[in-house]
Amino acid sequence: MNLDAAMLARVQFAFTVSFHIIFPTTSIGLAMFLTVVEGLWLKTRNPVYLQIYRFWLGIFAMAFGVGVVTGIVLSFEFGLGFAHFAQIAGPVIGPMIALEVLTSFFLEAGFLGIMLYGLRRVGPRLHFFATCMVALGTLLSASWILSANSWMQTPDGVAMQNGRLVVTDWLKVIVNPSWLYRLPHMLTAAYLTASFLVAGVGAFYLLRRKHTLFARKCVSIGMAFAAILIAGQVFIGDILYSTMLKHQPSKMQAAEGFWERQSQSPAPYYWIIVPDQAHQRNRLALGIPYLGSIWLTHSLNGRVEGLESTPRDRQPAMGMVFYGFRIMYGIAILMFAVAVASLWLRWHGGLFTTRWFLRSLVIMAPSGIVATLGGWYLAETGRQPWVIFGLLRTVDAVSPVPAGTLLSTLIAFIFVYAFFMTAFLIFVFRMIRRGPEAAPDHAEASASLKNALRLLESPTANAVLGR
Amino acid sequence: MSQPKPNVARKVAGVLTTVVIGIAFFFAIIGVFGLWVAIGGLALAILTAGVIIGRAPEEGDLS
Repeated sequence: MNLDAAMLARVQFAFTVSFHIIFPTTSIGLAMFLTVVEGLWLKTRNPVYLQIYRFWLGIFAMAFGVGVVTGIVLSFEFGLGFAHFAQIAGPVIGPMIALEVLTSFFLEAGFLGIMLYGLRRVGPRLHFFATCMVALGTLLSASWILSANSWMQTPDGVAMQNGRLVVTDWLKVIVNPSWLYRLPHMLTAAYLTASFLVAGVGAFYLLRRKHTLFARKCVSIGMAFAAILIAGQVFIGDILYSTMLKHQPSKMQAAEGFWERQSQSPAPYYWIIVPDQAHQRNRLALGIPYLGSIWLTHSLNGRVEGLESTPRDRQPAMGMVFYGFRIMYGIAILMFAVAVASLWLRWHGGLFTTRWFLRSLVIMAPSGIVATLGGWYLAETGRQPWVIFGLLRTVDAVSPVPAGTLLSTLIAFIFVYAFFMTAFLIFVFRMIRRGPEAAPDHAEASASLKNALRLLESPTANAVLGR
Repeated sequence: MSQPKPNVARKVAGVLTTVVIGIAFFFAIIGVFGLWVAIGGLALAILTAGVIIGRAPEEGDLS
């Protein structure tokens, strides 16, 4: 790999955006989960629902905070690392980012304080309304960002004038050909992420025979949502696949791991390949016979189009696209299997007592995050060598910044983000270790990290624990 | 060779049935049998999940 300025700008953006997406995915999913749980509490007045709400509110607050901070960095990187992109596409992307701020950020900012600190300060219905508004805000935020990103994947409603893109039809820009499919795909991914996270933590407690009522509700609600959502996600994913095959055939050719213009018949479904981009072949390819034809052409002996159908200078790097897709799809299959198993066990009354299943839920707890990362790697690496598909190449979009500057800032980002991630994980694992009984009534503000790391010694926690 | 115990055989049969049903639903939903079968399969999968979740014992209550 040649570490020139263009490559370093890409690596830096890839690193920061990969880190960032973990947190909005979690907070979008948890916001909806909290809305459902608080709604159930208002309806039933079962205190376990309130306990679940209080426990997950803290984790949601941290994910939300880190997501906002790391998201702001990305806006600056558009200008710092990809100045030509900002110059050329600014009239299109700029208003959409601004509309995200005006709609979702204002909504979230208005109600987040009530949601985090108002459980005992406002009435329960107003608090529920605040939770709903925050969940709506996260949904709107995802809508605008997905609209902007989908426009980069399938641009529409613009014309090039004097080296800059000018909007000719805003409706076509916002409702571009892939947005209607990518938005529900991403939202469902976020809700699945929260479902498996919640069920995984519940399963962890059940395996340790702790906080049983809380844990059973978490496993039950998490797997109920997962069972319904994964079916929908697989369906949406297949529709999206067909859409991308129409608009970005090179991405899907790379995603399937075939080089020849037409694969052999019947086509296998590859799970492992060692691609050789220079010689347009695979050094190694392992797959399941017939499955490629069945899944991709819906026939027993259909052929699949390979990457040689795309001119070399327009091909993405196959390895990244292929493995991004396989990680996402492989995890989706595992989620589907776990969801089916959960329904079978629920029917037979073994959902909370079958240890192999509970262990699998603990392992699957972060699966939504990993699958989302895989999906975004598929989307972004599959779009290459374009930053705006068919309109602007990535190498033409980068800023005239020295490679050394980009490398040093990349190293700085790695250290700062490693600190963020470490702090986040420490807090989350501490909250899980403390258990739901110690969850405070509302999020606790801390003036310093040192104080925050003494969360266990907080007055509320002490009062609840009877210390 | 000793015969497997009846409850073990029932469990194995149950697991195999679940696996086959799960694979059938998966193949249907990803469109192997066409779009309309995919839509029908999705609707049936959600309905089945809803019925099982609704009929299962009250979650969270210790038995």
